[in-house]
Amino acid sequence: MLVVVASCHDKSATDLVAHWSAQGARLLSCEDLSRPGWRFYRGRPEHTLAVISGAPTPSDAIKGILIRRPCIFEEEVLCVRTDDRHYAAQEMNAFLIAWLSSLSCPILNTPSELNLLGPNWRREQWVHRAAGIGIAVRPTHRNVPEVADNQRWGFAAAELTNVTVVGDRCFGAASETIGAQAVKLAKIARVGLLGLTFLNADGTFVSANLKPDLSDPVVSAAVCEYLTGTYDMPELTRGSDS
Amino acid sequence: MILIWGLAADTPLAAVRACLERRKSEFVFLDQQADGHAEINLTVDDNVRGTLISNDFALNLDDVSAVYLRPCDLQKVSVGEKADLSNPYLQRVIAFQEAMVCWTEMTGALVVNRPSAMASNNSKPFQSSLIKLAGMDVPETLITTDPKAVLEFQKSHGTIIYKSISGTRSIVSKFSSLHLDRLCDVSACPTQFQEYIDGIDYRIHVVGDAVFGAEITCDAADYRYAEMQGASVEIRPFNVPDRLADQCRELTASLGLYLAGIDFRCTRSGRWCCFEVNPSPGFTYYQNVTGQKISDSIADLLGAGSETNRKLF
Repeated sequence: MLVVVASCHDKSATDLVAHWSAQGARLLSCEDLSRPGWRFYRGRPEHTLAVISGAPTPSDAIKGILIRRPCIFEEEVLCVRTDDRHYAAQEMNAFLIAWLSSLSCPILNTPSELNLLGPNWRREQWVHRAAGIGIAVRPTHRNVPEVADNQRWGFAAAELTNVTVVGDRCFGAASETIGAQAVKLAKIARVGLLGLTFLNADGTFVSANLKPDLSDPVVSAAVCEYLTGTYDMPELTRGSDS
Repeated sequence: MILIWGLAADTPLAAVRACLERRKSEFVFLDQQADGHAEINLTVDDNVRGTLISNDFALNLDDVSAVYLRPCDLQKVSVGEKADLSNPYLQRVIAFQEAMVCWTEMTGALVVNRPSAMASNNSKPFQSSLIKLAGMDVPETLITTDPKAVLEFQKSHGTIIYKSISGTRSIVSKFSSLHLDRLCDVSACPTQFQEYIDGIDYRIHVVGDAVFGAEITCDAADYRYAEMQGASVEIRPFNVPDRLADQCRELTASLGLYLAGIDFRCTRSGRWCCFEVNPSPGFTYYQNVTGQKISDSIADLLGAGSETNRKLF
């Protein structure tokens, strides 16, 4: 079984679940965390039961997990009274971090303590790490006050290239160099799934995205292969698939 | 230059400030209460540089060698419980805090402690796994939405307690027959239960290489709230055995921390069980009773600055 951790209102996630029906894909939604049946014995995964799409599921039945949400939001915890939703959402997030981190199956991406999607890096941290491994960057500025200026990039979509890293593979890169750089940055961030944006003109790194678009069938197939372990990882030196 | 960031009234922060003043160390205090008037300008590429300006000082961030931060929930501190996110002042406070956190994550200065390193405390069972990995004993734990599982867990462990999973502070309470009529509530949200460990509480503070132990005698399940429960608390200095001290140092370093307050309970049979690692400990509660010089040790650590970064990691 593949598990997609996402909101039941996230159409791209529910589409993936439908697309991966042959792999027995199921959605793990916020609502599942408010259903009886969860049993997580810390340090004893063989006794752990999850509730996936309403059904109690042993951990060893899960072959791979794709996470498509940064956290559970308190507004989603509708079965808990309003005053307790903030606390309940925090508890659910803390629980998901512990449970997901305890699993031995492939996960895209392993959550951090602050973000279910992976490291909770700000744009400046991505730029700093990218520059640190030799990727071309433009200095990024953050000034307070002057909040409004902080988000101005000034690039049209046509000036940008979006690439997606899945494991050791990179999709959409205009050159092998950019593909290799993207994979390298993903490795530094310890993530298997990462969207990156570069400037077309000179290959300057612009930003990173832990929840990249997976609507491209080639990319979603790569994600599925990664999660099911059906892709034989090539050496990084073989370059990108693009 | 040492930068201290937090609230003037915060007792651990005040204790460290007092040490630095007594030593005539070069430091500045950034009062969180005035964050809405402070300015920060960051420029990041392969370097991280910028300036920080408050009512009291203007600082080139390159000159900062060490930071001690204990930021509180600024929304509550600055504008009360009912935070209005459309309030421009609050927006500026949040933006400033976010920029400061961003800088503390990247600066080469010694940061006690980096926010990302403190985050393991956001998920207690996750942190517990890291504690176990570091070779320490931790209580048996069940997190469940299944009332039946709670009863089975109670049957196999006798007395059990429940506590929050997240970093939200909760009063650790024993689960008893009085809770049975509310047990079905666990279905609404995963709830954490642990075997009850009977014994004496210990708080061990690690500051760089220095280790300070305190022994706490109390009848309540959670000594932090003993007075509320009508129980008394007695705290004494405790000489931490060498092996345990080494384990505490290693655990602290493995979590990326320079300062930690580690909670243990030791049973009559000598089982040391680690409950959690507090990455921003309110050490003055213990220091005031034991007379241990924890704040001096933190001042030493800050004084050594970025040299310590290289030594410990």
